[in-house]
Amino acid sequence: MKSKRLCLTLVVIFMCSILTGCWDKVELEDEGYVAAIGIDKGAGRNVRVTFQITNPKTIGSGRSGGGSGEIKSEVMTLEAPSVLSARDLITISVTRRISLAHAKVVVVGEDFARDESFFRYIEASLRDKEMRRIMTIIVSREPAEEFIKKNNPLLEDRMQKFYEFTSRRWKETGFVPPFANLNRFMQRTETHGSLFLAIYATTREFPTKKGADEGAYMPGQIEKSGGSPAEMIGAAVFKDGKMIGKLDGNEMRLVSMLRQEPETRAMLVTFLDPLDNKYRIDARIIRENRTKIKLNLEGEVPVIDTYVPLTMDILGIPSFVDYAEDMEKQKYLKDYLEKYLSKISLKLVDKTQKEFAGDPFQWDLAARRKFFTYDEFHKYDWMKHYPEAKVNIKFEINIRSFGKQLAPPSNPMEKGNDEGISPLERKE
Amino acid sequence: MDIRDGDKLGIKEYTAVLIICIGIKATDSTPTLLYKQGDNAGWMIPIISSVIVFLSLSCLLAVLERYKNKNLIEIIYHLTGKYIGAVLGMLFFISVTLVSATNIRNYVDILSTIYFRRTPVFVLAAIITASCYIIARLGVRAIGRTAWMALPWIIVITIAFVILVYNLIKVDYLYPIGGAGVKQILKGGVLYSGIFSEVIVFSVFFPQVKNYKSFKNSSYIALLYAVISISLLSAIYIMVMDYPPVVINSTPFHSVARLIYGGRFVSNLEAFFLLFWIIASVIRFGMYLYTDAALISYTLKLSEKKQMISAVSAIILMLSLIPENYIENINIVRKTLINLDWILIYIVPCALLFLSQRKGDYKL
Repeated sequence: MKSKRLCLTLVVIFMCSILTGCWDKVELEDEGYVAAIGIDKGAGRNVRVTFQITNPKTIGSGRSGGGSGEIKSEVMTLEAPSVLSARDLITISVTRRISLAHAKVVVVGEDFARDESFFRYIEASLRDKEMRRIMTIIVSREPAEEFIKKNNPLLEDRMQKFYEFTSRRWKETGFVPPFANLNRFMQRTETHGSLFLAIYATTREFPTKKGADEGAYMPGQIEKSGGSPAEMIGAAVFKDGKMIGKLDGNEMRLVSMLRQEPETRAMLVTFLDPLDNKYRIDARIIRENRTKIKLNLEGEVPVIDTYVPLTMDILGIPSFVDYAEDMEKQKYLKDYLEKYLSKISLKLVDKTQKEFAGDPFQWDLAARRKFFTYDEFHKYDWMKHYPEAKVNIKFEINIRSFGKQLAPPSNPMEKGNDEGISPLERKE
Repeated sequence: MDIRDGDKLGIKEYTAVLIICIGIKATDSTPTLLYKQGDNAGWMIPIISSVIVFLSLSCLLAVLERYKNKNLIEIIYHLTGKYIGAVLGMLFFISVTLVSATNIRNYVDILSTIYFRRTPVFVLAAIITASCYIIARLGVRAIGRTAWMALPWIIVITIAFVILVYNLIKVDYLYPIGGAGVKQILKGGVLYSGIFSEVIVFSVFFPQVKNYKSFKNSSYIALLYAVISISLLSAIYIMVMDYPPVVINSTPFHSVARLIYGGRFVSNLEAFFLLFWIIASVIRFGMYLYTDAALISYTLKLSEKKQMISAVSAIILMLSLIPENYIENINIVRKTLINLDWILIYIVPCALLFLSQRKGDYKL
């Protein structure tokens, strides 16, 4: 009995030595947690790597610490031959061991993103265990270094939280590609099937674009005052691991509608009122069903038939035209929206075919189903055939509700009804 | 071998051992090998393999039914004579030794690339082998019970994995459905049927399993479960990462686990999966060590099985340190082994059935 107990004690002591994690033990205090990694082109073959290390005093201390005086993070930039070697090099002035385990984003300066070597650097860094494939790629119009330094949200104490929360908003609004992570980036680039869209952002001020539609902006163009200078809208388009163009917020929303899988399920939009061109209708577009893609690859050029079912809530009719209860007007509105959406979509498709020569809609996924073996698909080369494809797009809109109100009030500003002319005729 | 009835494995324990030993292959480098063979249709290969395994298992079961109290090696001796029996027994021993060594190395490499970067490979290998040795030393019944205790958790974790990974999935990535083509997949099905070799090799424990019926049912249940889990998980890795990137990745399970995001408060979940993965792998290698010791002691007709375990563990530990790196281990050693294993494992049962038919041992 005694010897048994002794054995047990010995085993427990032995276990203690195993459970320390051997050589890889990590002291929490020793770690410097990075929230964002920035990459820019450096001199020669080097890259400029920026690490935003969160101030541990604001982490975990909860309400008691983290007063307004605290600095959120330490941002440091240095030139190194690679992202990984920068991690060791940074210890020349940082006391802590750099840990990327909680890094949420990789910020890339646009200049570097447009460079051939970008993909090589980012691919190479993925071999490291701490580089997570779930990290989001943000392309900033200015150097990444500047973006990270200037981005200073007042509401969030920690930068990790900032990136985490904004990424949730992305899924709700659709102004930026919501799943622009390294995993997708690698996948699109390596399959050579469709274009990859990364989040486009800036902290600089660009000439503002006044009076544009809700999403027709590039970052930095929005008339905005107050708050953090960082703006994220639109998408940076990558082909074969290299940035080749950009899309604004509205185009991004269209791309997300034309993709098969509903990634952004609801978004607020405005349309020109077809019966009164002075005003715009507020609506919420809801994607419940998958967009259907029919492909015909038999002929000379591929024919793509796209069918987009949308559900819509009409939320505001500032023109006071009675779309709600007048069935004829409602049908007119529907027809108008369907035609309008397919018109602008075709324009976008045309842009992607001519400007990018590649497909951001992931229609290659539908094309895959047309082949039996991977080799056949690979030989067909969707990226090569897409630019000459003939695309038909059909929207079908289902107006689900008109908000809380029924018919709008009869227009109090109106002097008299347009006698004799029905509003439908007045349009054209 | 005199075995008391209480020491025997029931249907639960034996099934649990088999499920853990085979099912865990979905989480190591096996899927990578499958994708190399079948491109994005690699997930179909286990299904085809299982048909072949099923046939050979049926042959084996027919043989085992005839010789109620004999294990695989004893039957081989009985049917093929002293010399061929010894050679076959040694071949089984060598194959299990090598398979254990490469697999331990494979797991150690996964641990060292993804979790313990600075720990020397030797230390990891030694710790794993030592813990497996402790389990193996306690005997087959202990392994069975441990497996049965761990199994529910492992199944729950697997299901949790599938659920958590669900919103990262795109079914379209499985297309073009044919992958590398029918011929390649069928070829892969034969070549990689070594994945399920445990159902055959573990018949050295046939006398230690309660009765023929539980042995039969366990083998079938475990085979079915293993096929489902390996195929499903292999398909999931493709659906998450898409075909060419998934081949570049050396440890798909762990890479996908790192993608899982459980919300703001539970990010970085991979450590959680690691825990159960380690438990399962220790059970698996414990069983391997024990099997290996059993094979050699039956072949050499030694009476003490347990003492062989330490010798076998030492051999396996040494062998596992030979490959220089992970790639060499999985691409060359492991692939060759799996591809050769099936000859031994699937021809022997059929040959045994044939021989016992000729000998006329119907009512033995």
